Amino acid sequence: MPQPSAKLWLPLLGSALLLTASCTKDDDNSPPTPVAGAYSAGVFIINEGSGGNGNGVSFFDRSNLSQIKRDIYQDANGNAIGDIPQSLTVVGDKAYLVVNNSNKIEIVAADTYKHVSQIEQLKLPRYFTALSSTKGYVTEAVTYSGRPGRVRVINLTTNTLGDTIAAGIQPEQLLQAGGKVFVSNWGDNTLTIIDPTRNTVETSLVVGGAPRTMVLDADNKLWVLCGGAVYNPDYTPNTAKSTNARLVRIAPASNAIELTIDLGDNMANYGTLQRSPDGRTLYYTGQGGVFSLPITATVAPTAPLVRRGSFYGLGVDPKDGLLYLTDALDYVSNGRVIRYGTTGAVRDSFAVGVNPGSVYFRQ
Amino acid sequence: MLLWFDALPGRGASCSTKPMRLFGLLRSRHTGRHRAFLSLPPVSLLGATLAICTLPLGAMAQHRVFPADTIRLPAAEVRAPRTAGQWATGARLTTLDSARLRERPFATLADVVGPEAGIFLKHYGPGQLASVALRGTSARHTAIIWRGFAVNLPTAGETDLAFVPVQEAGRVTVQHGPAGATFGTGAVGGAILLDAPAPPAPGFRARMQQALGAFGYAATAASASWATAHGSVVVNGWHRAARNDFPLRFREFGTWVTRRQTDAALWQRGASLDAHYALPGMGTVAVAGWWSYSDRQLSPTLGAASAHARQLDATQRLVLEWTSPTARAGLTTVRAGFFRDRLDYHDDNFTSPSRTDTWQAQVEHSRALGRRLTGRVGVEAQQFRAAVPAYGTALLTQQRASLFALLHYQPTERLTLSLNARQAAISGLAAPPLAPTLGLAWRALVRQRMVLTIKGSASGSYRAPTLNERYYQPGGNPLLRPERGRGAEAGVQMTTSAGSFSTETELTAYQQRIRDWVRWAPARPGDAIWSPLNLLEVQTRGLEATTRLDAGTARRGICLRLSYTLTQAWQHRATRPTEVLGQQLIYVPMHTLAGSLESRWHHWRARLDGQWYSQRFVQPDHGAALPAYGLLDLTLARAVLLPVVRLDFTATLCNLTDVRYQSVAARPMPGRSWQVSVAVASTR
Repeated sequence: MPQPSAKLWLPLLGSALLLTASCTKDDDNSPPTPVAGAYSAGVFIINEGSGGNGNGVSFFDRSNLSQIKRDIYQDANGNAIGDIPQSLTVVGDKAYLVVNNSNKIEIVAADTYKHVSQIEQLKLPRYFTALSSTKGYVTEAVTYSGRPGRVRVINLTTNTLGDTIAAGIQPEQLLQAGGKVFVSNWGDNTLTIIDPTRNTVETSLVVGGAPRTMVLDADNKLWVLCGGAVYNPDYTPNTAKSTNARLVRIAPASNAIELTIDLGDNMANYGTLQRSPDGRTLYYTGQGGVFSLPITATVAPTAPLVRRGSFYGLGVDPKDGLLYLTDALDYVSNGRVIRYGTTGAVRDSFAVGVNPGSVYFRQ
Repeated sequence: MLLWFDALPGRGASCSTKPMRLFGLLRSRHTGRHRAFLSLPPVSLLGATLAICTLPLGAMAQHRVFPADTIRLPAAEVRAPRTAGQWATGARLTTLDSARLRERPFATLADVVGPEAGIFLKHYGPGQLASVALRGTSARHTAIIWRGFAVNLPTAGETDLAFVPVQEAGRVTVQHGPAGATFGTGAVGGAILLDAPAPPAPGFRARMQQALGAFGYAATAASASWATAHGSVVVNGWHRAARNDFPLRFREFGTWVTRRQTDAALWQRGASLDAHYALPGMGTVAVAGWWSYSDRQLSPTLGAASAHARQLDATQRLVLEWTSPTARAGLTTVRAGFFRDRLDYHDDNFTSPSRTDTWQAQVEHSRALGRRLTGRVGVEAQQFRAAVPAYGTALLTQQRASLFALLHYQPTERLTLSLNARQAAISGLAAPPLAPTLGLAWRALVRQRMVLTIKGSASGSYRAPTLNERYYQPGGNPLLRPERGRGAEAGVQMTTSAGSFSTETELTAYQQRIRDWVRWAPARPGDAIWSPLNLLEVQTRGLEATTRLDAGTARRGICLRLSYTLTQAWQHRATRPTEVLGQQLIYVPMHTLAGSLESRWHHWRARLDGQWYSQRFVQPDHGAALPAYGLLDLTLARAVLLPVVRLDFTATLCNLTDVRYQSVAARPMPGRSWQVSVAVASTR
């Protein structure tokens, strides 16, 4: 069971081991009528929640930080989005919210967050990408028993499930580059590279232990951050696949690994990789805080840009390059988002929901 | 060997059973004046039906008032010297109403402990996991003691009360507050004691009960007993099943929808045995057995997809006991037990089997050290053998042992002092701290119709790390320190009686500090793997008030029982800056109310039970809370006496006002529901 989200495996230990949490009130008032275009621009925080509590999508308008909306899905629809929202992808006028423990993709109007449709019967879905207005891919972990996951093809016209494409263990993020789709296999040490015209696997590329987040830089090179530690299904370390944490640069056209930057053996596997708006600087989280390096670097930075012991996810605003570092605090209370300038200076911070895992931006 | 006076009135004693029956039995020893039994010297009585032996008597029974012409014998027992009453001087005890437990033998402790003892339980759904927490602590801080041995799973360190049927529990007493000196690990918030049932009436008796209820509920319970002057055998069997497909009403995409709960069915069965035999001149042997099997679906949280989770629990427990004859040299009890616990969890993604064997033994010796001083010393040893694949080893063995000593001193008739202490040792870990308890009970005012007792105690307690906490892969922390509690309580207790009217009122205030409190969290920020860590220092304090009024006779009367608790518990200190300090802990309601009003009229009985819990925060930062809720249950019962059998018809409307509530977040509970049962019991 490699690299499961803590919130996924903890309930499995039996409630004996865990504090669970939450508030679901049966008799909420009618949801306010959504304001058209309310969410057409701003910052979205995905709160993964804890035991069915505190999950949802927080939103704020960059120009009015004091007006944070804690759960815009609940506001628009009157019900919680489900258990463990994982990722958000906007395609045209729709937003696709992958809800991991509800085995579904919730489709909402991107401007209002009003429910449009949902795609169910998935198995532990994680991330989504749209290849066109009619076709999308979603990664499915399927299981945490060490068996491979898969990528599922989705018909975005009918919102129905199509072919499956075999992936590695715990396929996670999807990135389109060079006419291909790269899938990071978090519970493994590979990227699965898919030919989207045929929905087939072109090849599998060994990159390092526990690859998860990927970005494309200004030179259209693909960078992947490998957390390093790979676990067997019984949670013993998989020494064959584990490596030091590393950043790997890949040429999408040739699938060639051009550069590997060793980050040492002291990384957290939840490390997140992001890029600056111009694509010339990379940011990643690891033990000690947020690190940055130019895409021309060949060695790891020695000191963090932002020194901080506690953090969860990282986003970089494509509009102004500000860093949004999320902090899950004790993982059962409301988390915080801290904003930093590009020099690493703190701007401000504000409370969001429980376990803020990722940050998304609409311009 | 035990003396069991089921019918003694007192805290939690049956509203419908008056003391008269018992005193009729004992009136031949009439002394002619009122005496609290505390003033009696230790007695040894080998009666026609029961062998009894009373050691100096504990505070539990000291406060009752009886008719002036009645000699009192305590509800003490030697059978289980760890029974609360005897040595818990100054502690607060709640004995669950045995008559009410008999009414629903197939119910589980999850159904009765909350309303009866005024305790908030976390219910994950009907028939699903139910965990109890006392005085602001957690389920792992509640020791469950069955026939003298702790039954909390050595793996998880707690007991699912939805898997403990009332019939197998026997007599149920809740000791509120730390009891580490008496019960060892886990008794930080308190303990629940499941002692052997009352010895049955002489001859052969049998009882069978069938219940039906809403949402596919069906339960059967049967028991038979046989007793002579020298011994008794009680056997019980039960079975219950439920679909638990109760309706859920919730908002979805802007409209209200109603669906039925899924994946919540259960099938459970079990049997138990309690027997004792008095060997002429050689003491008493007793045996207790408990077999249970449970197959449950575990329903997903609201909004989550079903992973088709299922849990199998199987328990086999056997305890053998020998108690020496009463002699000047004192009383010796030797007890040995074997427990086998199986807990298999599986769902679409995950399989987690576990088997644990526990071998354990206790030897205790009590003796009088003068007229007013009694002492006891004992030793206890346990070996756990756990076959849990997640521990990464085929068989994990762990030993624990403890020494304990208890002193009980009555300098005057009215004053009782006790000093208990226990020192434990755990293989592979530094020894937990010494757990001492100093207790005091002073009957400050003794009048013809009223007794006022002032009581108090100060205790140290501990919780040894569980096997899961130490060895579970990933995350297990072999070097986890035991949690340590230090607390004190004080209270006053008053009983009055006038004619057929009696009252019993108790008020207790307590506080406790628990250090090295364990919480699972990423070992390093951002780590994927969580570990149990000695993160917190928790402070608790509260007030507990109970009162019981009883008026009338066995045939006609009413009984009112009320309890209120104020519980405050917060993180006082933490080793991480991300922890929230000073806020009420999650799932600890600050205010709890419970009560019942029962009216009996010849063969009819009607009872209204109520419980109310204030809001429970579900996030440490109080970012979310579950609203307060109150529940009312109405029960109507009719007994029909026929020449050789007695029939009891019972109908209950649960959650009368159809409150939709969640005890645990995203785990809905059913609205209004019903249950009916009929019992047939032989009367001679």
